[in-house]
Amino acid sequence: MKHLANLAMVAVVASGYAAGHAISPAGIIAAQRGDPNVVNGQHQPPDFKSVIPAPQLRQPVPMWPNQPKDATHWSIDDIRAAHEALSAADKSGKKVEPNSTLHHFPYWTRTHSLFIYHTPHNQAGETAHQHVGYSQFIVVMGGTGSVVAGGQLQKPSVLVEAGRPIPGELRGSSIAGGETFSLKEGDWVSIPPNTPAQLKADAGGLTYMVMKVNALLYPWDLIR
Amino acid sequence: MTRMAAALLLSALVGYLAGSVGRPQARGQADPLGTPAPNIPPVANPPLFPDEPNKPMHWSADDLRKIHAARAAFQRANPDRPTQGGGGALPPGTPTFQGQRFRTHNIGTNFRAYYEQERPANLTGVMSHYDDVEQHEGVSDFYVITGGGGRMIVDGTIENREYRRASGNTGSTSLLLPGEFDGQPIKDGRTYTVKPGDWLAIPPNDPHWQLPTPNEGMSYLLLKVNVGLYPGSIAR
Repeated sequence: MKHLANLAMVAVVASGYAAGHAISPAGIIAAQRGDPNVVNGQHQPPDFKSVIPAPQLRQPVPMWPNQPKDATHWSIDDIRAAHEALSAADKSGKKVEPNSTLHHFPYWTRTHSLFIYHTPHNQAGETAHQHVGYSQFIVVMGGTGSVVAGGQLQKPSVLVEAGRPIPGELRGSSIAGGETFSLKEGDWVSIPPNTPAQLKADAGGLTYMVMKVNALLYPWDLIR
Repeated sequence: MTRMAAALLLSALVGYLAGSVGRPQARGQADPLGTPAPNIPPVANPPLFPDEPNKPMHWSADDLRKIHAARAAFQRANPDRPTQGGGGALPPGTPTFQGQRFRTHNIGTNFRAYYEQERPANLTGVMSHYDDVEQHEGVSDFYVITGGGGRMIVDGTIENREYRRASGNTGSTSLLLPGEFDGQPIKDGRTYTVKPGDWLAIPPNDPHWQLPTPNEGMSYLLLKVNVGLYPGSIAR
């Protein structure tokens, strides 16, 4: 009799589980959990002045690493001073981390990042780059030079860091068939994802800021 | 027998609760407004939509300065003309600005003016010397000032805040745009004096307001990055 009772209890628990799984409103409650504007079960957009309710955005979307809360301002005087410092270091043979020359750099978020680079005159090595997973928007901070963009990367190889290949990051010796643009302070360049680019500096070096916009292929930081 | 019935009842209740908690949320589940969520399968290589010519572009600082000078001159000749969208037709010979628009970001320029006579603001219609404050929940803005100058007020909160409407806010009950807000002024914001060459990074959901110099206006690069909340255009 006791054995039968235990069996019945297990059967009842199983059928209760199935009933709960099938008909409970838990899924709908979970779907509503993301709305930040719900008050007493009602969607209440702030400062509402129309007869047509606004559709809501799907929340929450993680903004990792943190999107800053406040705005940041960089003055042209500070931007020029950063270039002057890097150019002077170049001439004297000192190594200066470019991102240390301007406040709030590097600046990076889940969706985009800002980095400063300085290219010395006659830089050697694999200076042609191709980034599969992000777009680049370049603002020239100081100096003069040129950029070759588009075309085909020559002698391409996958970047290796600490013995590990980094997928999507290609390096090459030069570019064949690209378009060449002269660069000076205040110029902008846009380079789509997966497009080779190579920046070269005249005497005095070329300093530029690159905004990297994640094309949503890379799950990691946009630091390369 | 009574104890047995109570135990069975309790077991059924435990089973029901376990089933409720363990139930996964179905894809396409209705949201609080009754709109089914889109069932979007993962895409290995998402298209950069809308397509742009997939080629590099270069903008010269000289051309950007000329564009600002032409816009400012046009505005001085037409002082009451609203400037939302970058100003009117420019004289022949003025360089043209070709922007880019991608799924992930937009590259464009804009021009703002100080109106000598107060006029209905461009979006909310309140009487003002300036266009309205903007706030975008789903977009990061990056500015480079290319001509003119003035003040930028950022952070803080927007007073008299409204949702933006698809066709402008004045006297309209058209579609409200989720995540887009306008109004003025900004309360408890920070003010920066800006001049050509300055940069500003404005994070998502941060109010920002251009107060251009009288007679000179303010031109700027507007690079907008989609932070992944907006399903549609981030051109605003």
